[in-house]
Amino acid sequence: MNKKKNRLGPGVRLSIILLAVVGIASLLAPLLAPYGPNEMGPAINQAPSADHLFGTDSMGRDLLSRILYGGRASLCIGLMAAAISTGIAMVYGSLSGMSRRWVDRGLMGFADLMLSVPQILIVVFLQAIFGKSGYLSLALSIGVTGWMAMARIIRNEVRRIRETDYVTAARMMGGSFGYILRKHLLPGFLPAVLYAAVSSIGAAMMTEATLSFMGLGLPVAEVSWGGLLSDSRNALLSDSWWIILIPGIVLIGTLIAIAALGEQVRKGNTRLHSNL
Amino acid sequence: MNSRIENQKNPGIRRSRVGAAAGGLVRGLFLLLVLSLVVFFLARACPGDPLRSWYGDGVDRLSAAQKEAMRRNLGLDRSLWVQYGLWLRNLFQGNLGISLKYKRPVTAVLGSVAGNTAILGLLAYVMTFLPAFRIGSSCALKEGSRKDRRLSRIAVVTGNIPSFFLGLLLILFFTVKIRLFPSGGAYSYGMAHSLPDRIWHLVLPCAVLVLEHVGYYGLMVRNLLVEETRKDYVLLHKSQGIPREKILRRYCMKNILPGMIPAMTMAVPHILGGTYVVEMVFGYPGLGTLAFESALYKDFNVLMAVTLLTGALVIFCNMLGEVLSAAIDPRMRDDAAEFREVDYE
Amino acid sequence: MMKDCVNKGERNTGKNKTVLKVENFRLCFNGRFGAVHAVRDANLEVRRGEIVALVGESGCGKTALCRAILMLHSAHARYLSGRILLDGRDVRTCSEREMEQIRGKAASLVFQNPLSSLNPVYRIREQLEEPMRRHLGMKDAGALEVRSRELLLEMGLKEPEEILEKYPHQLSGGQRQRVAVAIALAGDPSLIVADEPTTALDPETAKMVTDLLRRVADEKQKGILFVTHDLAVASALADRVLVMKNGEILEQGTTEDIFARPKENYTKKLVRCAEWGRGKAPAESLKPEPERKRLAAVHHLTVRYPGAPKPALRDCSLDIREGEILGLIGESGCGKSTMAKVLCGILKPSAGEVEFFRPVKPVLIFQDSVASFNERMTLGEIVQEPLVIGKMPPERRKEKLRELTEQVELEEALLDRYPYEVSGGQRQRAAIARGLAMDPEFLIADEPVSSLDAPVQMEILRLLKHLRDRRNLTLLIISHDIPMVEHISDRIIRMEKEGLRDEFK
Repeated sequence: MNKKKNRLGPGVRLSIILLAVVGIASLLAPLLAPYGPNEMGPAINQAPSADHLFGTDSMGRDLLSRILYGGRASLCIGLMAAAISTGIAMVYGSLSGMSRRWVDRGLMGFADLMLSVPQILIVVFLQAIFGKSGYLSLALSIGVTGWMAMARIIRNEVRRIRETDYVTAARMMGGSFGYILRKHLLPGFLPAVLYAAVSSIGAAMMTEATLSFMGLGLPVAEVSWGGLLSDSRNALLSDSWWIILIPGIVLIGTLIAIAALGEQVRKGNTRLHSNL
Repeated sequence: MNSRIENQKNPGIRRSRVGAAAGGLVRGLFLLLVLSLVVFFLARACPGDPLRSWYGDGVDRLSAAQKEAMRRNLGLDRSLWVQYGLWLRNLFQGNLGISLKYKRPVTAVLGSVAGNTAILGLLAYVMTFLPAFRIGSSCALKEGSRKDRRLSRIAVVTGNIPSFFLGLLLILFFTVKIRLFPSGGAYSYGMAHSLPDRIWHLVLPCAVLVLEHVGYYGLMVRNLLVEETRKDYVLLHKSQGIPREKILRRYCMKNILPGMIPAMTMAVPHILGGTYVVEMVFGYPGLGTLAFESALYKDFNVLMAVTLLTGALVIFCNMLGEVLSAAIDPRMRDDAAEFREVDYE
Repeated sequence: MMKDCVNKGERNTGKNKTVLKVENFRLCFNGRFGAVHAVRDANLEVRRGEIVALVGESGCGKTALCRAILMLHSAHARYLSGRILLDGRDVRTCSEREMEQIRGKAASLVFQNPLSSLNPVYRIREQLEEPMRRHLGMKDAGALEVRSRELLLEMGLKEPEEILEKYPHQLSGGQRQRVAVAIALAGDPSLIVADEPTTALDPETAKMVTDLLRRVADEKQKGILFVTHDLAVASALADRVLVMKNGEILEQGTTEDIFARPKENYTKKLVRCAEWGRGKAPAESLKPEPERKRLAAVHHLTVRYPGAPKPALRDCSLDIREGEILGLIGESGCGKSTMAKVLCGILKPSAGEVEFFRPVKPVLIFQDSVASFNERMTLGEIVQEPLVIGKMPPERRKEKLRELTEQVELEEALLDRYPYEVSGGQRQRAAIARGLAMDPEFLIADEPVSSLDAPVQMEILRLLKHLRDRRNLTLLIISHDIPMVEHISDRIIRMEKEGLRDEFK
């Protein structure tokens, strides 16, 4: 709504830079990584040094390389999962919002049902059943279980916009369903969805990390940030702080940057001043 | 949502509340039924011999005739719908099959740990929302101040730390370095009924859960309150000479409750899911640990049962939430919004 | 601290005490683009038992002044200079704590929109008792109940016990506003500041509220500062009138003086606006009405909203004739908008039918121009929308757009603005332009001018009449503003609750 260009705050700019760095570094992992992700070397549990910028783990693998390759997996899966859930949510929500009352209730009831079970549990269930794990199947599991909240947002917005006078006016002018969808509905619910979509990337990444940490995510050979943190459980005993902290900070930093971006998208239209 | 036959001229009609509660109950039960259906069909999609997964390894030692009898018992020779019906009957009789891993009836396995999860979950829920409301309203009161901005930023950070990582960090610090708290379990050996010991074991897992969620909900409270302060009635109260803090903490707060209750209801599956993860990290014997281990072990009976139990709990909390909502917001009671939504052609 | 407050003020004695005295007051806001001077050098005085009206267009600073009296503005306002003396105390020097004592006790506020200004989740009882507890120190539940009921009865509200139990959204607009006045009175203040309390009400309810305020001033000897944009309302009620424009008080005097001998040009303009439609402005010469053909007829229309206890319209029949301006008047809630929607085909009636004698598509100009515009579209896009839907080629569209904006006298430069960036009058012109884009023969205007200031109202109505003459339209105007409708219509139909009606001219 506010078409004036607001200068982005320093926090947001930092977030964009961070995300760009992480994204590009992960993309170029094969070029940038000094070692292979599973390459075991002689230096075991070595603190960060010139040879190994982030140190090595208990099997002599270079942490920096593992983080770079891990970023590929985590970011990829996060983005794919978010895309899947956003896509499902848009279709489901629009359909529900545009249909007759009883259809709407049925659809939303089903969504509510799926919301009743914590996402992590359903994903675990699906993973247990379908077994094989690759980027896509993991993204599917997460995506297919994470669209419900967004669908509800979209459905509410679609319902609201549908009832407005300007949509009524457009219908009176002879506007077709497609026209109204394009011109009024979509631009209307996009802002609300955008924030949810960006947040879902972060949520998907966290879910993937949690799964990999539990051993229910990617297979051991594939590296992801969650898997790295799982290895770090052993590091507790060997007092190798870098194995725990560095991957953790990278993951958390990325998630926070995504959240900051989402907030920026959400910066809404609250009235300027409080009445208090 | 439910059709309440409320006459706008008679606000005091209480039967609408009972009617709403009854409607909610029916809806809840229906949802539960559908959930059981979904779970059942999902479970049937599992690979492997259903006989073995229901009755466990002992199946191998049975004779062919016995296996036949079991097959018929499970209805494996009949349609899936009949199987569902039989399974449902088993459910009502308290028979959920045998756990592959523990070699005991599923109900027994679940029963022994459900209480632990309940304690941790409930504690985490309460310890999340009480501070959330308090801190959220303090921030809203001092909107824009340094304290407000700082706390908001901290909230974003804590909300984005994966719970398992936070758990690891806390263990690293409080158990390995300082030796203040135990690294896991629900109680020390042989002290299952000692309250102080239990509490000692609950501190770290609970702390993780609270830190994970308090930021998000505190921020929500703060944002809702800030929106409320833009409304005209706040000006009215100010013009009556009511102090700012009272306006916010009492009058605005009551107005945001209808908005917060759905969020608090939605928080149940979130916090519960978080509880499951945290249990795993701390080796806390609860439904969560059970769920993850059974996933690793392909112990589908247990997994199914945990899913059903969790779903039932959440659906129950949803119903509670609906009843509370209706009780608090008078506008919802009158269903004024319902008949404004006319189905235009 | 408290002592300072009192010492700086004057000592008031005597019967006709000054309740409010504003001296050389200046107020500005820290806007996004610099300081906005909302009030410049204001001077005014209100005495006990006196009603003083503050009249001006929206945005002239009258609301800012009102709120400053109780120091209600938050940090973004800067009180530059001058004094505001409430019962002798200069509120500018009082701390927040002291203000909490003063607000509601020395003065209280009544707002324009009671639905949003009353707390929606508390019953009337609790909202009424709060000021009594706070400022009168009443604690006993019985005493509170008695006093609450008394107050409501004084406001002319029957069955106060029922009303006490209700929530604000369960009352009608008129009831709500009277409750708001009761709440303002509950703390027994010396001054009541009423900010456009009748603007959102239909004429009958408005009269009730203004009568009520007059009674309060006379019987209880309260001072009342009545803020409005409508000089006509002010003249019926007030003892003295102040005219405000752009933050300055242009002129003040007794009501008679202002009307009989207005000095400033702006005041003269307001006086003219107040008088038109009341038989004083030159009326159209009454031509003998040719018998017109019927354009449409409504037969026994009944409309029921799902879930509503009573029908919105019941058994209504009326005729619409070619080329006429038909006025449809009635209280809010009697079904006028519903009738409009049925005529346009948006709503399906539960019973009865609408018959058109020749193929005509009615075009509706909505009541709320803000709601009927998509806030993401510029005015230009909005006006063009019917043409876009009708797949008119872009060059033709531009031409037609220019035509339309000329006809409705809308500046072309405004077409690139968004709805919230232009004034109400300009939005309304755009709404009319959009309606005209469909080349209608039958135009239905639902409350076309109710949210506008008086001078703008006149212009819009003149425009509509002009359009009717030029394009030979049939116009149906729906409103609750009787004088306005009387001024412009050829024929008037009056609707009662649920649309039982009678007709006259």
